[in-house]
Amino acid sequence: MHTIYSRINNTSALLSTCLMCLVGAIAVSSYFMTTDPRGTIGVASIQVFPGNARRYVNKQQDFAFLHFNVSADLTPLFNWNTKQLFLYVSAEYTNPQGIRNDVVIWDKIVRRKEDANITITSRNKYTFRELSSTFR
Amino acid sequence: MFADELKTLRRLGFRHILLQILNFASVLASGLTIWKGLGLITNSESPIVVVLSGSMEPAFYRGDLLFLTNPANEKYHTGDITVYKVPGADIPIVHRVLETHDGAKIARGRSIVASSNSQDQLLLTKGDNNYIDDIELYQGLEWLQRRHIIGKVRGFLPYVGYVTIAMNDFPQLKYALLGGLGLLALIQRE
Repeated sequence: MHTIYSRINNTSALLSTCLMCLVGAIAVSSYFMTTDPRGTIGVASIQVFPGNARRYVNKQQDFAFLHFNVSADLTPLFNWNTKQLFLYVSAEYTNPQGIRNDVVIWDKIVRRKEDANITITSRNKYTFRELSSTFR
Repeated sequence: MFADELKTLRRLGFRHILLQILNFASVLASGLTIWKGLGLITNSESPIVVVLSGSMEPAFYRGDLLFLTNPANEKYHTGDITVYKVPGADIPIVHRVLETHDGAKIARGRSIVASSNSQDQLLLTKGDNNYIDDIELYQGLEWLQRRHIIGKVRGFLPYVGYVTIAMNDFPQLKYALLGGLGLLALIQRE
């Protein structure tokens, strides 16, 4: 430890080791902070209308319009290590050809604990369309 | 300025210079081995990527480093953050999966049929900060398939990627850094 070069070398090695350990400890700590908040979701109405596919103007496509309401208290999920909550409502269904579909129809980003009490009555944010152009 | 170094080099002989070059080459080779080994373990062609655009804010900002894995037999679910590369585009895009259709594949003529392989999936993605899904970015594709996906994001480090962005925007920086490192490796005497 007699030259600036070796001093910088030692200090930076120690710094990076400590940083790695800290990052590892933070990652492990997330396994100890588990909560299980629950909420309710109800479907108000579903309607299916025919229309034209977005890209190919002559192709028929069925669109579904879904009205739903969600209420949940998600404040337990905010701990010191939470950056944001990404919430989404997704519709899962299997169509007659045996294809399992999982479609996100609404999402929301919650960044603060004060906004984490969710009571929403809304319709689908994204177009809910079926792969094979018809829901039948 | 380099008179001392040149005298030392001449004293140590040609063999010493060869040894230095060998050291340099072994450092490069071990770096490449680590990178490719990481790609093998994670089953992804590029396990560490840098976020270039703001389309995933407030989750990922420009300059964040992302760590990806691509387990071969695992399906992707809605809500996963994936990095994909569309054939015809040279930059990978990191967005969230919006829709998955399991057990479907695209037959010739662009029609969608049920697939015999239950691992087949058709995916649609969307960036958190965008209003609509990524159809415009797919360069003609309607759905993404497993083979377009480089990996799923498992962890991230903020701001570290700015070094790569700086080196891409100012190539002189890249050459200066490489030249400096090479010079340092050659004139080291251990």
